[in-house]
Amino acid sequence: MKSLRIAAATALALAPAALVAGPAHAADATVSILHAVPGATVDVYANGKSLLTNFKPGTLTDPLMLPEGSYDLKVTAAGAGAGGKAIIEAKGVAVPGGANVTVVAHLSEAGKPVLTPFVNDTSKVPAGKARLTVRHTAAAPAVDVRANGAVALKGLTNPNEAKAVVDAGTIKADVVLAGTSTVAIGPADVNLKEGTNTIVYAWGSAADKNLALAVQTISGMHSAPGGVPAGAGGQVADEKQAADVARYAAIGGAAAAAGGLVLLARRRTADAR
Amino acid sequence: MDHDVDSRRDRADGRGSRRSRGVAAALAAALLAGVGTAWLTRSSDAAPPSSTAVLDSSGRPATPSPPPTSPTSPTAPTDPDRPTSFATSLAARPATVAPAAGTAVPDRLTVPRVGIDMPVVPVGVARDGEMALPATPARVGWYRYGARPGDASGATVLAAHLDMPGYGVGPIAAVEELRTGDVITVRSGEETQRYRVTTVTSIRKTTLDLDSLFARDGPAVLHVVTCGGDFDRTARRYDENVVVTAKPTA
Repeated sequence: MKSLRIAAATALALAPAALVAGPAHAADATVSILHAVPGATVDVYANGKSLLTNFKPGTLTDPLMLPEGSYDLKVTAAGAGAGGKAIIEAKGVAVPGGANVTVVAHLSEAGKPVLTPFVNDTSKVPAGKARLTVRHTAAAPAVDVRANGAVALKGLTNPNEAKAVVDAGTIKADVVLAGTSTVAIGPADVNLKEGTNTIVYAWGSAADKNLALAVQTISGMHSAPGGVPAGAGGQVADEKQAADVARYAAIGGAAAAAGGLVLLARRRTADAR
Repeated sequence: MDHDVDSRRDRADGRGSRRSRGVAAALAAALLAGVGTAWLTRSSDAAPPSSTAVLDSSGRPATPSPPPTSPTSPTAPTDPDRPTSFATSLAARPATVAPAAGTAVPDRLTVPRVGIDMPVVPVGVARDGEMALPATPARVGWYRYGARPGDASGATVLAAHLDMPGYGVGPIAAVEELRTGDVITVRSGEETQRYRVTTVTSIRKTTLDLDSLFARDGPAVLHVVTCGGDFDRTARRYDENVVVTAKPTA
């Protein structure tokens, strides 16, 4: 396989997270890796150490906690070893502490394998909502992303993302060439689970006709509803009020009756004398 | 009659103390009867709902749960300069859309001791950001984004209208009579989850800890919610929420 040495443009992509990384002390970052280069099973090395072996296209790793810092990443053919030829190589990839990052091995618009680190937005969403993120990581021109037939995200280009907070639920998503109704990928049902960031990747190659969607879901961004409005009639309040009125009437009545009885009894006693 | 009264007064001459005793006796009898009636018409003996902002004393850990990590993830050293020994068996899985799990959703709430037996329907969030409730007080809403009965962690939230114009008082009003130890049953299709009441509290809506009420992690717990307190006739809202907290039984 021809060796390609491609330096990933990492600084720009990671800049927003670097600005908000608060504590000065070292913090771990959450890193996932997505393999979106068609046709190649690979091994991944970080700083010369094996990170991942027999990594297949279209698969995503579990999140990995990595100390913040700078990493030299290298992707080789499976079994090539740490010194093997690099299919992709990226030096000095900055991993900011506390950030949630997905490193994507994918094709550039021109069809060359590259590594792009994306910072995942893990800020809270309102109750009942989900965050939808779409990333263009395919060897394809600009696209629009449609949700249930309507254009949701417009003019997305490789290697960029667009996102929106939407109602949770399942959408029928497809990808069309920008400004057209020519479907490039899909449609596919995508479950936007409440309180998640659901990240949809368009990957593959238009020329090779293997464009596909990959989905990553990051949970834990839920919020509680604003309250529980569980009564609008006021009948319970009315009943309580009515019950109170009846109660005080009963108390007063009983007191008056008892007092009257005693007075009457004493009067009779007096009369009898 | 005048004569009678006068003559009685005459007879009462020199017996003022006796007349005072008579009045005192009458007042005492009135007081006794009043207090007695008040006692007989008092609210039920159930522990009065405490007005506290603390929702749950079930020992939810104060520390946030750690973010999910792969069981094969290495323990990351804090020194970035030290060579990291990565797991070579870091799991990767197809990044495809997993079909939604077909777990049954709750469909019936029963509390035998106070006569509650109500259908349950899944609900979400209303336009205003509050929990959406079934319009009729005859049904209970289950907050479908939270835990299901039987889940290992998190709060299962069931809520129903206390009352509604044109309907009257709903069956959920009986939760105010619940006491510690009462059994609550939630059925989800073929499965039944039993709970025991730990607390019944009435909390001002302004101080209600919604994050605890709708907790997604921490111990498994059932929260049955309705309204209580005073009713604002203009806003058509009660100012408190009655929250029943119950723990699952094995």
